[in-house]
Amino acid sequence: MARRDAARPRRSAGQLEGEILSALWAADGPMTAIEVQAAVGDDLAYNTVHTILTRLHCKGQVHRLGPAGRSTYKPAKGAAEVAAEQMRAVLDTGADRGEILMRFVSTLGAAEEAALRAALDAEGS
Amino acid sequence: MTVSVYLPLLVSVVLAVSVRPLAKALPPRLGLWVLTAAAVIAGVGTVWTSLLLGSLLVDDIPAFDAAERLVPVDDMMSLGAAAFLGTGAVRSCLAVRRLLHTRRRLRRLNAMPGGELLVVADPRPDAFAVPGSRAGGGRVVVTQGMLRALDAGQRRALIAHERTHLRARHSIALSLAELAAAMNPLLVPVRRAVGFLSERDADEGAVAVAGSRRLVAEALAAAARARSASAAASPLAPGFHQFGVVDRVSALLAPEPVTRLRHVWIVGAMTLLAVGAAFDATRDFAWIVQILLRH
Repeated sequence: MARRDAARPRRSAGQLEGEILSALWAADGPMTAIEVQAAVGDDLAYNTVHTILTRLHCKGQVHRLGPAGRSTYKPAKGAAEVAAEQMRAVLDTGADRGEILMRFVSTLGAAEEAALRAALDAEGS
Repeated sequence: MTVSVYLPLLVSVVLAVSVRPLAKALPPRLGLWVLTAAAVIAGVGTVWTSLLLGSLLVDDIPAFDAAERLVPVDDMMSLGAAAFLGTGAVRSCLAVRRLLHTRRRLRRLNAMPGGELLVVADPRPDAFAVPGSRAGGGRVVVTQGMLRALDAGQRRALIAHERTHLRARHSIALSLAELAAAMNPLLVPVRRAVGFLSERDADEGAVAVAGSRRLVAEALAAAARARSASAAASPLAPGFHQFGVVDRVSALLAPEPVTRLRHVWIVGAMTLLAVGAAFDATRDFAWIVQILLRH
């Protein structure tokens, strides 16, 4: 497989919104736009980060604190608490046993854990 | 009829036995739809031929004595087919009910305010895609616990992976395969393979966005470890999954993509065989019915 790094496709707005929102959620406290730019950890332009933060703010997904220019951002928690209840309601009924729920990863057994380490190490060394 | 009526069943058995190595070599996007089509056709084909076999019990009705020598099928076979049909019908009803119930629950998550990414305030690491009712709809649901367990690149891979599920409409393939497996329990391994290929396809989608196969492999490993470390994450016994994260990581790290187009043709040929056999059996059945009516 050829290396894709050179010709990396532009990420869509939905993807970028997701990355920035998830960076805010993964952080311990409010972040400035520059901190978000660093936390997303890629070649994103500051302007792009700022635009998306503003968009997320308009949608009510992040709170903006402090004066314009030196604002910090933090994720809106209220909806997430409600979502957590909804999610538990879905998972507790065993929805994840049907194949319709597309889960990122399953849990690992001891043997799988070892096999996983072997697969990653074999390539890395 | 003596042979063709059993062929869809035979095709189901062959699919079930060979699907594991097949799934690992099929190109994910094409393969998952080809396997889904094969499962649906094998499922419907088996139900149809069982229906034909079951109705041949008609030769036991005294009024249709003439049928006795026309019917090339043992009564035991017909009874077996009827039992198979009954089980399939019950399982299908249960599966449809379960699917509708799950959809209804998931719709509530879909209706939550916010963007495509729905973060859930839960410390247990988990992430999944919730299908929407139209292409491009649906949500990516991720817990805060999962986001904290991953670094920036891994979060990018995770989001791209789940978005691929939504855009490629994998939930349709999964629902169809689930129904086929309900109709015909022999197809349960095929349904699992469709699930595996959906994950593989989403992993490849993540590679296209994140730009590195290794990064996606590491994201999978980090997420799986985080989920396993949180003991309450899943009540399922580990090792329950026939195709696991390890297979996906190996596929991502393989130096050459191991997909073979030839396997698509193998599945296609088996599917065509099932279709042809069902038609042949139907024609013979129609012939028997015609003669019966003439008497």
